[in-house]
Amino acid sequence: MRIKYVTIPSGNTAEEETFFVNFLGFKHTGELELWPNVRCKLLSNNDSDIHVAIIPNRSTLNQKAVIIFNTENCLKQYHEITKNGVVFNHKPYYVSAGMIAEFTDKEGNQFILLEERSYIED
Amino acid sequence: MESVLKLSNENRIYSSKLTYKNLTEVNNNFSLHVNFNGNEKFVLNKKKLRLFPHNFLAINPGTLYSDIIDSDSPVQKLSISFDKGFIDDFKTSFLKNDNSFPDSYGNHLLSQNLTFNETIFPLLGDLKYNIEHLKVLIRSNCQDELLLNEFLYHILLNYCTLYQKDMLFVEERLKDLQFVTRKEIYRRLSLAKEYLYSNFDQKINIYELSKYSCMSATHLIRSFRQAYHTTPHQFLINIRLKQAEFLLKNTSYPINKIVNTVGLDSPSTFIKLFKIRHKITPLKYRTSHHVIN
Repeated sequence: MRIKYVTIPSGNTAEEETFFVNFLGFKHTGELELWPNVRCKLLSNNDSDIHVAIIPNRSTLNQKAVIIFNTENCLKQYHEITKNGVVFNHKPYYVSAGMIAEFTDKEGNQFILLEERSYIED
Repeated sequence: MESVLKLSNENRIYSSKLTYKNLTEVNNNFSLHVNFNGNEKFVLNKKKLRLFPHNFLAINPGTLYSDIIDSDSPVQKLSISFDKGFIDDFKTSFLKNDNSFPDSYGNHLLSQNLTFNETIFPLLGDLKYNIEHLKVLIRSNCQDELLLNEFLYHILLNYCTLYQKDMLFVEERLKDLQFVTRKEIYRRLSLAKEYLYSNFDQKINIYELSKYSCMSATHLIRSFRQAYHTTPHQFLINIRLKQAEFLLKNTSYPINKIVNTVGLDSPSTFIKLFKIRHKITPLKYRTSHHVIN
């Protein structure tokens, strides 16, 4: 058994899908009826190693997702996503695990770019 | 092969792979020099330095220096010259306290203390990562100035962090001394480290080292131990082992050649020291890294 989809709760699934496609370079791969009359939008990144399911947010729950993207070059990725029009919460910064940059979508879901760095040899 | 990427803000990135070079110049900008293999000689005013992989050299604006490469195999290097305006912007914009960043990882520093030290430093941590990323961008012929400047900004930040941490670390350990004395001892210990980074492959005599550092041998050993919690000799052994690790991972040199190249006495000493540090023999270390690579 393995986790296949990262779920992104959204009050406006069409808008969320546009955000993923236009700003993050994902492509639409299909839809999935998860519960009766509740359809999720499925998307994958270019390498097809990240699969996202945008699920309609239930009005009673204010669900938010925190998505951590692993990247080999945080600054470059930050730069590319910024060029697509995404405004980051602040510039990339250093943490004990490496380098991080983060942004938030309109729904309040948080996205973190993480470039893991090993400082053991130092 | 040598290329220069001149950015519109006058920052310059020099990338080269050369067997021979003999350049003498005064650069009016602050510059950083890294070489990824082989060794390179620098003469800075009267100081004769050699730069090896895992280290980098910072040169202050206005220093007359010679950069000399004379090698059988090509030496791959990267130099960055930071325009004065870029450095001034860096000091005023980023180095002010910015409380939106988590601290402790060099995300902000105090600008009033910002100085640059013209010496050799180990290429470590985030600086190493960002230099490697920049090298890849240059190799892929990246012309995106915004991205390149972003990297230069971070490289400058990483350098300042590394230098200031080193200085603060030493000053904290020498806190019983007067401020001026602390500064002077830090400067002289930096000279000692620079000498060790430059000459680790030679027989090093404590009296030559102390003469270079402008201290008596006894004073040097005592201050070095107090500042870095290690002796100059142990520090030298660490440099030699680090270089040996590099050669094990990146060359097929036999152990005897590695021992000679890093300035150790004998293969048996090397194997003993290596096993203490890594808990495995050099050959097993080489095999495990070749498997991973």
